[in-house]
Amino acid sequence: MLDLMGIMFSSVIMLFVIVRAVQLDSTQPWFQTIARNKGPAGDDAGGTASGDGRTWRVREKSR
Amino acid sequence: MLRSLWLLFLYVSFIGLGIAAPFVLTLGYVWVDTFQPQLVAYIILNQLPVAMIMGAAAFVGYFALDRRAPPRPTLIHLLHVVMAIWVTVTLIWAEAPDSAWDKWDWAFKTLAFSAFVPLVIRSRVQIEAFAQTYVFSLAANFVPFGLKTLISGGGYGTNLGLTQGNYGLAEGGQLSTVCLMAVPIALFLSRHSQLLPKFKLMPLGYYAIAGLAIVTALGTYERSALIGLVVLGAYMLTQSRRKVLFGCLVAIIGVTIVYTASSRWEARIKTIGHFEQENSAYTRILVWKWTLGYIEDHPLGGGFNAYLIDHIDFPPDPEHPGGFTEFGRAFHSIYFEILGEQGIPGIILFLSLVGTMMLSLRRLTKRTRKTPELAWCADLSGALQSGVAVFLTSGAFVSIAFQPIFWYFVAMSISLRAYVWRVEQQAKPLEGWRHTAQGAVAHGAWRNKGAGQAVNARLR
Repeated sequence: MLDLMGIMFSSVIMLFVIVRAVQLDSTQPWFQTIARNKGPAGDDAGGTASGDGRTWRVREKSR
Repeated sequence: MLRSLWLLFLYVSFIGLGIAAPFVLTLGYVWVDTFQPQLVAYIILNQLPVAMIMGAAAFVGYFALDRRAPPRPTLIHLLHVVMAIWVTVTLIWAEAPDSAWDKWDWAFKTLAFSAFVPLVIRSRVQIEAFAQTYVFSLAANFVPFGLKTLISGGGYGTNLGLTQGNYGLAEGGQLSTVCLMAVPIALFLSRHSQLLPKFKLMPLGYYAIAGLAIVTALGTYERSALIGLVVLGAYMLTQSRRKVLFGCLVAIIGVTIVYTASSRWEARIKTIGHFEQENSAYTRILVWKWTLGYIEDHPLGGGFNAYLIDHIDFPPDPEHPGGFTEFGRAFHSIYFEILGEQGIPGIILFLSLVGTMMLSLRRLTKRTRKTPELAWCADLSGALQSGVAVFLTSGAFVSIAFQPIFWYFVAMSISLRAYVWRVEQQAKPLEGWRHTAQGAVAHGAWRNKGAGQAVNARLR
Protein backbone atom coordinates (compact mmCIF):
# COMPACT_ATOMS: atom_id res chain seq x y z
CA MET A 1 0.00 0.00 0.00
CA LEU A 2 2.80 2.41 0.90
CA ASP A 3 4.57 1.45 -2.31
CA LEU A 4 1.53 2.29 -4.42
CA MET A 5 1.08 5.53 -2.51
CA GLY A 6 4.71 6.51 -3.18
CA ILE A 7 4.38 5.73 -6.87
CA MET A 8 1.11 7.61 -7.26
CA PHE A 9 2.31 10.63 -5.26
CA SER A 10 5.54 11.05 -7.20
CA SER A 11 4.13 10.30 -10.63
CA VAL A 12 1.10 12.60 -10.34
CA ILE A 13 3.31 15.53 -9.32
CA MET A 14 5.83 14.66 -12.01
CA LEU A 15 3.13 14.53 -14.66
CA PHE A 16 1.78 17.88 -13.52
CA VAL A 17 5.27 19.38 -13.63
CA ILE A 18 5.91 18.09 -17.14
CA VAL A 19 2.60 19.33 -18.54
CA ARG A 20 3.33 22.74 -17.01
CA ALA A 21 6.88 22.64 -18.42
CA VAL A 22 5.54 21.94 -21.91
CA GLN A 23 3.16 24.91 -21.60
CA LEU A 24 5.83 27.30 -20.32
CA ASP A 25 8.44 26.07 -22.78
CA SER A 26 6.36 27.27 -25.68
CA THR A 27 5.19 30.54 -24.13
CA GLN A 28 8.09 31.79 -21.99
CA PRO A 29 11.39 33.10 -23.36
CA TRP A 30 14.17 30.56 -23.08
CA PHE A 31 16.87 32.93 -21.89
CA GLN A 32 16.77 36.04 -19.75
CA THR A 33 18.53 38.97 -21.37
CA ILE A 34 20.61 41.04 -18.98
CA ALA A 35 22.10 44.30 -20.18
CA ARG A 36 25.29 45.29 -18.40
CA ASN A 37 26.02 49.02 -18.20
CA LYS A 38 28.95 50.92 -16.73
CA GLY A 39 27.00 53.80 -15.26
CA PRO A 40 24.48 53.94 -12.41
CA ALA A 41 21.14 52.28 -12.95
CA GLY A 42 18.42 54.58 -14.23
CA ASP A 43 14.81 54.38 -13.15
CA ASP A 44 13.92 52.74 -16.41
CA ALA A 45 16.59 50.11 -16.03
CA GLY A 46 14.60 48.02 -13.61
CA GLY A 47 17.73 46.33 -12.31
CA THR A 48 19.98 46.29 -9.28
CA ALA A 49 23.63 46.75 -8.60
CA SER A 50 25.58 43.57 -9.14
CA GLY A 51 28.14 44.32 -6.45
CA ASP A 52 31.08 44.49 -8.82
CA GLY A 53 30.64 48.13 -9.74
CA ARG A 54 28.53 47.36 -12.78
CA THR A 55 24.82 47.51 -13.24
CA TRP A 56 22.57 44.79 -14.52
CA ARG A 57 19.48 45.59 -16.46
CA VAL A 58 17.09 42.79 -17.08
CA ARG A 59 14.57 42.41 -19.81
CA GLU A 60 12.97 39.32 -21.22
CA LYS A 61 13.83 38.39 -24.76
CA SER A 62 12.04 35.81 -26.79
CA ARG A 63 13.91 33.09 -28.63
CA MET B 1 -2.33 -4.64 -11.93
CA LEU B 2 -3.40 -1.08 -11.09
CA ARG B 3 0.23 -0.15 -10.55
CA SER B 4 1.27 -1.62 -13.92
CA LEU B 5 -1.50 0.14 -15.83
CA TRP B 6 -0.68 3.46 -14.17
CA LEU B 7 3.00 3.11 -15.06
CA LEU B 8 2.05 2.25 -18.65
CA PHE B 9 -0.11 5.38 -18.78
CA LEU B 10 2.80 7.43 -17.48
CA TYR B 11 5.21 5.93 -20.03
CA VAL B 12 2.81 6.63 -22.90
CA SER B 13 2.24 10.17 -21.54
CA PHE B 14 5.97 10.90 -21.78
CA ILE B 15 6.00 9.79 -25.41
CA GLY B 16 2.78 11.69 -26.21
CA LEU B 17 3.99 14.93 -24.63
CA GLY B 18 7.39 14.36 -26.24
CA ILE B 19 5.82 14.73 -29.67
CA ALA B 20 4.72 18.26 -28.71
CA ALA B 21 7.96 19.14 -26.89
CA PRO B 22 10.92 16.82 -27.66
CA PHE B 23 12.78 17.61 -24.42
CA VAL B 24 10.09 15.61 -22.57
CA LEU B 25 11.47 12.44 -24.18
CA THR B 26 14.81 13.11 -22.47
CA LEU B 27 12.94 13.56 -19.17
CA GLY B 28 11.17 10.27 -19.94
CA TYR B 29 14.53 8.54 -20.27
CA VAL B 30 15.67 10.02 -16.95
CA TRP B 31 12.48 8.67 -15.35
CA VAL B 32 12.97 5.20 -16.89
CA ASP B 33 16.65 5.18 -15.94
CA THR B 34 16.07 6.30 -12.35
CA PHE B 35 12.73 4.77 -11.42
CA GLN B 36 13.08 1.66 -13.65
CA PRO B 37 9.38 0.94 -14.26
CA GLN B 38 10.27 -2.32 -16.00
CA LEU B 39 11.32 -3.72 -12.61
CA VAL B 40 8.19 -2.48 -10.84
CA ALA B 41 5.46 -3.28 -13.40
CA TYR B 42 3.95 -6.76 -13.61
CA ILE B 43 2.66 -6.55 -17.18
CA ILE B 44 3.60 -5.01 -20.56
CA LEU B 45 6.40 -2.65 -19.43
CA ASN B 46 8.36 -5.53 -17.93
CA GLN B 47 8.41 -7.19 -21.37
CA LEU B 48 9.46 -4.17 -23.41
CA PRO B 49 12.91 -2.56 -23.92
CA VAL B 50 11.48 0.59 -22.31
CA ALA B 51 14.82 2.41 -21.90
CA MET B 52 15.89 1.72 -25.49
CA ILE B 53 12.58 2.94 -26.92
CA MET B 54 12.62 6.13 -24.83
CA GLY B 55 16.33 6.77 -25.46
CA ALA B 56 15.96 6.32 -29.22
CA ALA B 57 12.89 8.58 -29.22
CA ALA B 58 14.85 11.25 -27.31
CA PHE B 59 17.70 11.19 -29.86
CA VAL B 60 15.35 11.22 -32.86
CA GLY B 61 13.18 13.94 -31.28
CA TYR B 62 16.19 16.18 -30.73
CA PHE B 63 17.90 15.70 -34.07
CA ALA B 64 14.68 15.89 -36.09
CA LEU B 65 12.78 18.62 -34.27
CA ASP B 66 14.72 20.46 -31.63
CA ARG B 67 18.24 21.48 -32.66
CA ARG B 68 18.10 25.03 -31.39
CA ALA B 69 20.54 27.04 -29.27
CA PRO B 70 23.10 24.27 -28.59
CA PRO B 71 25.51 24.92 -25.70
CA ARG B 72 29.04 25.97 -26.54
CA PRO B 73 31.68 23.25 -26.04
CA THR B 74 33.26 23.28 -22.56
CA LEU B 75 36.14 21.42 -20.93
CA ILE B 76 33.70 19.49 -18.69
CA HIS B 77 31.73 18.31 -21.71
CA LEU B 78 34.95 17.36 -23.51
CA LEU B 79 36.25 15.35 -20.52
CA HIS B 80 32.85 13.68 -20.26
CA VAL B 81 32.98 12.53 -23.89
CA VAL B 82 36.63 11.45 -23.61
CA MET B 83 35.68 9.37 -20.56
CA ALA B 84 32.99 7.59 -22.61
CA ILE B 85 35.58 6.86 -25.31
CA TRP B 86 38.24 5.70 -22.84
CA VAL B 87 35.95 3.19 -21.06
CA THR B 88 35.28 1.70 -24.50
CA VAL B 89 38.98 1.51 -25.37
CA THR B 90 39.82 -0.36 -22.14
CA LEU B 91 37.57 -3.20 -23.30
CA ILE B 92 40.44 -4.21 -25.61
CA TRP B 93 42.55 -5.47 -22.69
CA ALA B 94 39.72 -6.30 -20.26
CA GLU B 95 40.67 -8.99 -17.74
CA ALA B 96 37.16 -10.44 -17.73
CA PRO B 97 35.88 -9.70 -21.28
CA ASP B 98 32.35 -11.14 -20.99
CA SER B 99 31.63 -9.42 -17.72
CA ALA B 100 33.30 -6.21 -18.99
CA TRP B 101 30.95 -6.12 -21.99
CA ASP B 102 27.96 -6.54 -19.67
CA LYS B 103 28.99 -3.55 -17.57
CA TRP B 104 30.05 -1.48 -20.61
CA ASP B 105 26.57 -1.99 -22.06
CA TRP B 106 24.90 0.06 -19.32
CA ALA B 107 27.83 2.25 -18.24
CA PHE B 108 28.45 3.53 -21.78
CA LYS B 109 24.74 4.30 -22.22
CA THR B 110 24.86 6.29 -18.97
CA LEU B 111 27.90 8.28 -20.12
CA ALA B 112 26.61 8.81 -23.64
CA PHE B 113 23.11 9.86 -22.62
CA SER B 114 24.27 12.19 -19.89
CA ALA B 115 26.64 13.82 -22.42
CA PHE B 116 23.62 14.25 -24.70
CA VAL B 117 21.42 15.84 -21.99
CA PRO B 118 22.99 19.36 -22.15
CA LEU B 119 22.11 19.57 -25.86
CA VAL B 120 18.43 19.14 -24.99
CA ILE B 121 18.13 20.81 -21.59
CA ARG B 122 18.84 24.48 -22.23
CA SER B 123 16.25 26.86 -20.83
CA ARG B 124 15.33 27.53 -17.21
CA VAL B 125 12.05 25.65 -17.59
CA GLN B 126 13.86 22.64 -19.02
CA ILE B 127 16.58 22.68 -16.36
CA GLU B 128 13.97 22.80 -13.60
CA ALA B 129 11.85 20.11 -15.27
CA PHE B 130 14.97 17.91 -15.38
CA ALA B 131 15.63 18.45 -11.66
CA GLN B 132 11.96 17.86 -10.77
CA THR B 133 11.81 14.66 -12.83
CA TYR B 134 14.95 13.38 -11.22
CA VAL B 135 13.82 14.11 -7.65
CA PHE B 136 10.31 12.68 -8.11
CA SER B 137 11.60 9.58 -9.94
CA LEU B 138 13.70 8.90 -6.87
CA ALA B 139 10.90 9.92 -4.49
CA ALA B 140 8.81 7.00 -5.75
CA ASN B 141 11.47 4.81 -4.14
CA PHE B 142 12.41 6.70 -1.03
CA VAL B 143 9.01 8.04 0.06
CA PRO B 144 7.65 4.52 0.84
CA PHE B 145 11.11 3.44 2.08
CA GLY B 146 11.30 6.43 4.42
CA LEU B 147 7.78 5.90 5.75
CA LYS B 148 8.49 2.19 6.36
CA THR B 149 11.71 3.14 8.15
CA LEU B 150 9.79 5.52 10.42
CA ILE B 151 7.36 2.68 11.22
CA SER B 152 9.79 -0.25 11.50
CA GLY B 153 13.17 1.37 12.18
CA GLY B 154 14.80 -0.04 9.03
CA GLY B 155 17.83 -2.30 9.22
CA TYR B 156 21.08 -3.30 7.54
CA GLY B 157 20.34 -5.37 4.45
CA THR B 158 16.59 -4.94 5.02
CA ASN B 159 15.18 -4.01 1.66
CA LEU B 160 12.14 -1.79 2.10
CA GLY B 161 12.20 -0.34 -1.43
CA LEU B 162 10.21 -1.05 -4.57
CA THR B 163 12.71 -3.46 -6.15
CA GLN B 164 14.36 -6.56 -4.76
CA GLY B 165 17.90 -7.89 -5.16
CA ASN B 166 21.26 -6.35 -4.35
CA TYR B 167 21.82 -3.94 -7.21
CA GLY B 168 20.60 -0.52 -8.31
CA LEU B 169 18.40 1.24 -5.77
CA ALA B 170 17.85 -2.04 -3.93
CA GLU B 171 21.48 -1.84 -2.76
CA GLY B 172 21.77 0.11 0.50
CA GLY B 173 25.01 1.96 -0.26
CA GLN B 174 23.77 3.25 -3.58
CA LEU B 175 20.29 4.12 -2.31
CA SER B 176 21.61 6.10 0.64
CA THR B 177 24.08 8.06 -1.51
CA VAL B 178 21.48 8.83 -4.15
CA CYS B 179 18.94 9.96 -1.52
CA LEU B 180 21.43 12.32 0.12
CA MET B 181 22.37 13.78 -3.26
CA ALA B 182 18.67 14.51 -3.90
CA VAL B 183 18.31 16.51 -0.66
CA PRO B 184 19.97 19.77 -1.85
CA ILE B 185 18.10 19.59 -5.16
CA ALA B 186 14.76 19.23 -3.30
CA LEU B 187 15.68 22.22 -1.12
CA PHE B 188 16.60 24.22 -4.22
CA LEU B 189 13.20 23.40 -5.75
CA SER B 190 11.44 24.50 -2.56
CA ARG B 191 12.78 28.01 -3.15
CA HIS B 192 12.79 28.40 -6.92
CA SER B 193 10.17 26.15 -8.47
CA GLN B 194 8.33 27.78 -11.36
CA LEU B 195 6.51 24.67 -12.47
CA LEU B 196 4.39 23.99 -9.39
CA PRO B 197 1.78 26.47 -8.21
CA LYS B 198 3.11 28.84 -5.57
CA PHE B 199 1.31 28.44 -2.27
CA LYS B 200 2.54 28.51 1.28
CA LEU B 201 2.56 24.76 1.90
CA MET B 202 4.58 23.93 -1.21
CA PRO B 203 8.02 24.43 0.42
CA LEU B 204 6.86 22.18 3.28
CA GLY B 205 6.20 19.42 0.74
CA TYR B 206 9.79 19.66 -0.51
CA TYR B 207 11.11 19.74 3.06
CA ALA B 208 9.14 16.55 3.74
CA ILE B 209 10.68 14.93 0.65
CA ALA B 210 14.17 15.99 1.77
CA GLY B 211 13.42 14.66 5.28
CA LEU B 212 12.24 11.29 3.96
CA ALA B 213 15.36 11.07 1.79
CA ILE B 214 17.51 11.53 4.91
CA VAL B 215 15.42 8.99 6.88
CA THR B 216 15.81 6.50 4.02
CA ALA B 217 19.57 7.01 3.92
CA LEU B 218 19.83 6.43 7.67
CA GLY B 219 17.35 3.52 7.49
CA THR B 220 19.74 1.57 5.28
CA TYR B 221 22.17 1.43 8.25
CA GLU B 222 25.00 2.19 5.82
CA ARG B 223 27.99 3.80 7.50
CA SER B 224 28.74 5.70 4.30
CA ALA B 225 25.31 7.35 4.68
CA LEU B 226 26.28 8.92 8.01
CA ILE B 227 29.56 10.16 6.54
CA GLY B 228 27.67 11.54 3.54
CA LEU B 229 25.12 13.23 5.80
CA VAL B 230 27.85 14.96 7.83
CA VAL B 231 29.53 16.18 4.64
CA LEU B 232 26.20 17.33 3.21
CA GLY B 233 25.44 19.33 6.37
CA ALA B 234 28.92 20.86 6.47
CA TYR B 235 28.95 21.75 2.77
CA MET B 236 25.47 23.24 2.83
CA LEU B 237 26.44 25.23 5.93
CA THR B 238 29.35 26.81 4.04
CA GLN B 239 26.99 27.68 1.18
CA SER B 240 24.16 29.00 3.36
CA ARG B 241 23.43 32.72 3.55
CA ARG B 242 21.98 32.31 7.07
CA LYS B 243 24.69 30.24 8.68
CA VAL B 244 23.52 30.56 12.29
CA LEU B 245 19.96 29.48 11.47
CA PHE B 246 21.17 26.65 9.27
CA GLY B 247 23.72 25.58 11.91
CA CYS B 248 20.93 25.41 14.54
CA LEU B 249 18.80 23.33 12.14
CA VAL B 250 21.68 20.91 11.51
CA ALA B 251 22.27 20.62 15.27
CA ILE B 252 18.56 19.87 15.89
CA ILE B 253 18.56 17.19 13.17
CA GLY B 254 21.74 15.69 14.64
CA VAL B 255 20.33 15.55 18.16
CA THR B 256 17.06 14.07 16.86
CA ILE B 257 18.96 11.32 15.04
CA VAL B 258 21.05 10.49 18.11
CA TYR B 259 18.00 10.32 20.42
CA THR B 260 15.65 8.46 18.10
CA ALA B 261 18.07 6.01 16.47
CA SER B 262 17.79 2.42 17.61
CA SER B 263 20.57 0.63 19.47
CA ARG B 264 21.06 -1.59 16.38
CA TRP B 265 21.82 1.50 14.26
CA GLU B 266 24.24 2.84 16.87
CA ALA B 267 25.99 -0.53 17.10
CA ARG B 268 26.38 -0.61 13.32
CA ILE B 269 27.73 2.96 13.14
CA LYS B 270 30.21 2.36 15.97
CA THR B 271 32.01 -0.23 13.82
CA ILE B 272 33.45 2.70 11.82
CA GLY B 273 36.03 3.11 14.57
CA HIS B 274 36.93 -0.61 14.72
CA PHE B 275 37.46 -1.42 11.08
CA GLU B 276 40.12 -4.07 11.75
CA GLN B 277 37.64 -6.20 13.70
CA GLU B 278 34.86 -5.57 11.17
CA ASN B 279 35.08 -7.92 8.21
CA SER B 280 33.31 -5.72 5.65
CA ALA B 281 35.47 -2.64 6.29
CA TYR B 282 38.72 -4.63 6.57
CA THR B 283 38.00 -6.44 3.29
CA ARG B 284 37.68 -3.06 1.57
CA ILE B 285 41.13 -2.04 2.74
CA LEU B 286 42.66 -5.28 1.53
CA VAL B 287 40.92 -4.93 -1.86
CA TRP B 288 42.23 -1.37 -2.18
CA LYS B 289 45.77 -2.59 -1.41
CA TRP B 290 45.39 -5.25 -4.08
CA THR B 291 44.20 -2.61 -6.57
CA LEU B 292 47.25 -0.43 -5.93
CA GLY B 293 49.51 -3.42 -6.50
CA TYR B 294 47.62 -4.37 -9.66
CA ILE B 295 47.93 -0.85 -11.10
CA GLU B 296 51.72 -0.93 -10.68
CA ASP B 297 51.82 -3.75 -13.23
CA HIS B 298 48.78 -2.64 -15.30
CA PRO B 299 48.74 1.18 -15.39
CA LEU B 300 46.04 1.18 -18.09
CA GLY B 301 43.66 -0.75 -15.84
CA GLY B 302 41.95 -4.08 -16.33
CA GLY B 303 38.70 -3.01 -17.98
CA PHE B 304 35.22 -3.15 -16.47
CA ASN B 305 34.74 -5.62 -13.60
CA ALA B 306 38.49 -6.26 -13.30
CA TYR B 307 37.85 -7.01 -9.62
CA LEU B 308 36.76 -10.52 -10.68
CA ILE B 309 40.42 -11.56 -10.88
CA ASP B 310 41.47 -10.19 -7.48
CA HIS B 311 42.56 -12.48 -4.63
CA ILE B 312 42.58 -11.12 -1.12
CA ASP B 313 44.85 -12.76 1.48
CA PHE B 314 43.44 -12.42 5.00
CA PRO B 315 45.83 -12.65 7.95
CA PRO B 316 45.45 -15.49 10.50
CA ASP B 317 42.62 -15.17 13.01
CA PRO B 318 41.20 -17.52 15.69
CA GLU B 319 38.85 -19.14 13.16
CA HIS B 320 41.50 -19.48 10.44
CA PRO B 321 44.92 -19.99 12.09
CA GLY B 322 46.64 -20.28 8.71
CA GLY B 323 44.86 -17.30 7.18
CA PHE B 324 42.64 -17.61 4.09
CA THR B 325 42.13 -16.16 0.62
CA GLU B 326 39.02 -14.77 -1.04
CA PHE B 327 38.55 -14.13 -4.76
CA GLY B 328 36.55 -11.62 -6.77
CA ARG B 329 35.76 -9.07 -4.06
CA ALA B 330 34.28 -5.82 -5.42
CA PHE B 331 36.20 -2.52 -5.21
CA HIS B 332 33.68 -0.82 -2.89
CA SER B 333 34.93 2.64 -3.81
CA ILE B 334 34.41 4.88 -6.82
CA TYR B 335 38.10 5.85 -6.82
CA PHE B 336 39.45 2.30 -6.72
CA GLU B 337 36.73 1.15 -9.12
CA ILE B 338 37.91 3.66 -11.72
CA LEU B 339 41.59 3.12 -10.92
CA GLY B 340 41.34 -0.67 -11.18
CA GLU B 341 39.09 -0.71 -14.24
CA GLN B 342 40.17 2.35 -16.22
CA GLY B 343 43.74 2.69 -14.97
CA ILE B 344 45.71 5.85 -14.34
CA PRO B 345 44.34 7.66 -17.45
CA GLY B 346 40.80 6.89 -16.25
CA ILE B 347 41.31 8.22 -12.72
CA ILE B 348 43.07 11.34 -14.08
CA LEU B 349 40.12 11.93 -16.43
CA PHE B 350 37.61 11.44 -13.61
CA LEU B 351 39.41 13.68 -11.12
CA SER B 352 39.94 16.34 -13.80
CA LEU B 353 36.25 16.21 -14.62
CA VAL B 354 35.22 16.53 -10.97
CA GLY B 355 37.76 19.30 -10.28
CA THR B 356 36.77 21.28 -13.37
CA MET B 357 33.08 20.91 -12.58
CA MET B 358 33.42 22.00 -8.96
CA LEU B 359 35.58 25.00 -9.89
CA SER B 360 33.18 25.98 -12.64
CA LEU B 361 30.21 25.72 -10.28
CA ARG B 362 31.97 27.76 -7.60
CA ARG B 363 32.78 30.50 -10.11
CA LEU B 364 29.21 30.40 -11.35
CA THR B 365 27.86 30.81 -7.81
CA LYS B 366 30.08 33.81 -7.19
CA ARG B 367 29.12 35.46 -10.47
CA THR B 368 25.37 35.03 -10.16
CA ARG B 369 24.51 35.27 -6.47
CA LYS B 370 24.40 39.06 -6.39
CA THR B 371 22.07 39.31 -9.36
CA PRO B 372 18.53 38.75 -8.08
CA GLU B 373 17.27 37.50 -11.44
CA LEU B 374 19.98 34.84 -11.49
CA ALA B 375 19.76 33.87 -7.82
CA TRP B 376 18.23 30.56 -8.86
CA CYS B 377 21.40 29.79 -10.83
CA ALA B 378 23.55 30.45 -7.75
CA ASP B 379 21.33 28.24 -5.59
CA LEU B 380 21.20 25.41 -8.12
CA SER B 381 24.96 25.64 -8.49
CA GLY B 382 25.33 25.35 -4.70
CA ALA B 383 22.92 22.39 -4.63
CA LEU B 384 24.89 20.61 -7.35
CA GLN B 385 28.14 21.19 -5.46
CA SER B 386 26.63 19.79 -2.25
CA GLY B 387 25.33 16.72 -4.10
CA VAL B 388 28.70 16.07 -5.73
CA ALA B 389 30.45 16.50 -2.35
CA VAL B 390 28.21 13.73 -0.95
CA PHE B 391 28.98 11.52 -3.95
CA LEU B 392 32.73 12.03 -3.53
CA THR B 393 32.67 11.08 0.16
CA SER B 394 29.97 8.39 0.39
CA GLY B 395 31.16 7.04 -2.94
CA ALA B 396 34.59 6.41 -1.41
CA PHE B 397 33.00 3.28 0.11
CA VAL B 398 30.60 2.18 -2.65
CA SER B 399 31.24 1.15 -6.28
CA ILE B 400 28.86 3.55 -8.02
CA ALA B 401 31.20 5.48 -10.31
CA PHE B 402 29.19 4.73 -13.45
CA GLN B 403 25.70 4.90 -11.98
CA PRO B 404 23.57 7.61 -13.64
CA ILE B 405 23.20 9.85 -10.57
CA PHE B 406 26.65 11.45 -10.72
CA TRP B 407 26.60 11.81 -14.50
CA TYR B 408 23.20 13.54 -14.39
CA PHE B 409 24.72 16.03 -11.96
CA VAL B 410 27.53 16.60 -14.48
CA ALA B 411 24.92 17.10 -17.21
CA MET B 412 22.96 19.57 -15.08
CA SER B 413 26.10 21.56 -14.31
CA ILE B 414 26.93 21.79 -18.04
CA SER B 415 23.37 22.91 -18.83
CA LEU B 416 23.45 25.52 -16.07
CA ARG B 417 26.85 26.85 -17.11
CA ALA B 418 25.67 27.08 -20.72
CA TYR B 419 22.53 28.95 -19.63
CA VAL B 420 24.49 31.55 -17.65
CA TRP B 421 27.03 31.91 -20.47
CA ARG B 422 24.20 32.56 -22.88
CA VAL B 423 22.70 35.22 -20.61
CA GLU B 424 26.11 36.86 -20.12
CA GLN B 425 26.82 36.92 -23.83
CA GLN B 426 23.58 38.77 -24.45
CA ALA B 427 24.48 41.22 -21.68
CA LYS B 428 27.83 42.20 -23.17
CA PRO B 429 27.80 45.59 -24.89
CA LEU B 430 28.65 45.31 -28.58
CA GLU B 431 32.02 46.75 -29.56
CA GLY B 432 33.82 47.86 -32.72
CA TRP B 433 32.23 47.12 -36.09
CA ARG B 434 29.40 45.18 -34.40
CA HIS B 435 28.39 48.32 -32.49
CA THR B 436 28.59 50.45 -35.67
CA ALA B 437 26.58 47.91 -37.63
CA GLN B 438 23.92 47.71 -34.96
CA GLY B 439 23.75 51.49 -34.75
CA ALA B 440 23.30 51.71 -38.50
CA VAL B 441 20.49 49.24 -38.36
CA ALA B 442 18.86 51.00 -35.43
CA HIS B 443 18.95 54.39 -37.22
CA GLY B 444 17.40 53.08 -40.41
CA ALA B 445 20.53 53.40 -42.57
CA TRP B 446 19.62 50.02 -43.98
CA ARG B 447 16.75 50.51 -46.34
CA ASN B 448 16.22 46.84 -46.62
CA LYS B 449 14.46 46.09 -43.36
CA GLY B 450 14.75 42.34 -43.84
CA ALA B 451 18.51 42.53 -44.29
CA GLY B 452 18.79 44.72 -41.18
CA GLN B 453 16.89 42.23 -39.10
CA ALA B 454 19.03 39.43 -40.44
CA VAL B 455 22.21 41.25 -39.39
CA ASN B 456 20.76 41.99 -35.99
CA ALA B 457 19.81 38.38 -35.51
CA ARG B 458 23.28 37.26 -36.58
CA LEU B 459 24.99 39.70 -34.23
CA ARG B 460 23.03 38.36 -31.32
